[in-house]
Amino acid sequence: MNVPLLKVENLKVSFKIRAEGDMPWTKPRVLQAVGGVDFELKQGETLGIVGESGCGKSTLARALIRMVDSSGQVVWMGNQELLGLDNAKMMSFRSKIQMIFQDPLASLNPRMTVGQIIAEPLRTHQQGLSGREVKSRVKSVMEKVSLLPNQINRYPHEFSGGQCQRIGIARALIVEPELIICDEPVSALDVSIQAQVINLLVKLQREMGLSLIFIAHDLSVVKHISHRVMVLYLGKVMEVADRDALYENPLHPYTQALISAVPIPDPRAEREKRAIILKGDVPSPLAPPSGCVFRTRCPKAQAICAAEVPMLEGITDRTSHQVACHWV
Amino acid sequence: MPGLTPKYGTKYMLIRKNSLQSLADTMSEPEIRGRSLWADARKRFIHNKAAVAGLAVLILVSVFASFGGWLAQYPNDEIDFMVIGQVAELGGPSFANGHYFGTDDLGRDLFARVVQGTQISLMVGIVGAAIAVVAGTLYGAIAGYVGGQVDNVMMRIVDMLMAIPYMFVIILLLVMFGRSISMLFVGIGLLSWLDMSRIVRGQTLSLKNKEFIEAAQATGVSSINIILRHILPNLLGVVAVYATLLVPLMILTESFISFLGLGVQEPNTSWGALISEGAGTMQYGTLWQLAFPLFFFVITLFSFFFIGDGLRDALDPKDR
Repeated sequence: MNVPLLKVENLKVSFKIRAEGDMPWTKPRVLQAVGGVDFELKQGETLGIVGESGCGKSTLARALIRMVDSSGQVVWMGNQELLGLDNAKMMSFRSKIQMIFQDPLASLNPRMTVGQIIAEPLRTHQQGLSGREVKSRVKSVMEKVSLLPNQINRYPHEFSGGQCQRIGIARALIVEPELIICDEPVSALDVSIQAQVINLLVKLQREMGLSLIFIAHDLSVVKHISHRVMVLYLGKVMEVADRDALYENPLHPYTQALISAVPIPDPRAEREKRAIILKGDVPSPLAPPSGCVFRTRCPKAQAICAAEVPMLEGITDRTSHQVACHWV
Repeated sequence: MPGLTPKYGTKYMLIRKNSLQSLADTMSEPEIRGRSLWADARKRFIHNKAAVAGLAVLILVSVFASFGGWLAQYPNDEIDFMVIGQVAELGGPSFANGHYFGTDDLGRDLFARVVQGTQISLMVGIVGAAIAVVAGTLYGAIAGYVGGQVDNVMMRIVDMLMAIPYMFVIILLLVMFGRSISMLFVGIGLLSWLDMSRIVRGQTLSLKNKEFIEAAQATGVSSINIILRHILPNLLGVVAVYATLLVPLMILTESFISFLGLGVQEPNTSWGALISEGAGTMQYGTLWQLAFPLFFFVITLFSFFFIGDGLRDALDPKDR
């Protein structure tokens, strides 16, 4: 069991940007959306990925399932590299890696019934199944996500946001995947519904031994669900650690600022709290700062931060806690 | 006080029992048929009086085209020698001699001629629109979905074809290859799909970035299945509206060509040809020769436009 389910090394995604009115021969500008990310995901584990908008969280997720072109290595179960596979060979992995999307209603085709939507991955990956078998599989997976199986012929617009997200989860589960990538699955939902969906994901993970990659910008949600947490900033990993280590002892100045900004549900404690306020905005990913990408807003920045890129390294007493900062 | 607790308790139990019962009932209900967006649209369409009236008129016109021949007392190519030479006096509409709509200038039964013209005009309209729908939708959906250079090349071809004045092309085709109905179809079909492909491409571009398309791509559905299963059903609304507006345009085009004398040839006829003949003999006091074909022409165009309007309102209630 020591082989990680997914081992990602130096994953990079860049986009070529052409400005309006550029001549065909002008060189496009390069936007580095994900700049060399490494991580490991063990079986049955949840990796939370947090970061501000535009820091490359969703792009990272899309690179893993090859929705965008990327370079680097993504190794499945220690022996299969995914990024170099041709499309036909990638198909078998597409059923093992499924995805849940942010906007529950927009991720369901409005012209299809719930049954057709949930059955689609099954019809794609196991084409020999009879209609009756497909239907019984759909019904059993609907029960698993607490949807009434007799609603199989309804349409997405007849459901609430939380129910739609559960339809999305059912669609991901029907092919019995090993990894589910959740791209901000609860950001569009009410807080009470968020809890339902997250508890459902935790329950399913326990029952089916799923691994999850959970992308969010809500730190308390990530704390609730994750085993390990990775903090991204401008496409680079700032800090990776086990959940408790990261929340109780954040080492990177960016992580410290993020965690200090989480509201505490107790007005007295909230008033006492000292949030670290970062100055300025996230720099444009078209022109990232030299050296450490965080240095323009970092309270500890010195000359070395502009000169050298800090490596992501384990701290001395625990190698599972990795930080990319010159001052740790 | 002590008496209150059990009372409250039983009531509570009762409520719990009721809700459990209703939950069990819901669980065991048969599969509920959902209301699709199509069913919603149908309901809105039925509430639109103008559109329903248009549909009714159109059905009546189609019935007239299909079964009117059975009512006609004369075949459409037989000359009635009783009225020839005195069409203005004897050839008027009358039930007595069986010429319900009168006769044309040559003494042929106008009722039978209008039935035949209606058949041909409706056929031209529907076939022309059908070519546009099939070719334009597929072309536009592929261009929009594939995108990039393929899209660029495909749409520039459309631009080039659009730059050609199409009436000129149709007239040229008819003059060069002889005047026939099939050549008319070729000419109309060749050019009618251009607008449709542009509209469909635009819609596809906006659909392509929706999350449900991304979800299908992520799970590995093939491009052709994404187009057929996800893009086309979501395009159908726009296509249906545009198609109903395209049918009258096709009829108008054909009528114009026939009016010029280039369209359908004798003994066949169409609304355009009949109107042309009727207009030519107006000053001789045979106004019915213009009035009957014109009446069918106008009510059909009106009903198509009303249906198109109704469909647009029904399919896109936000966009009024």
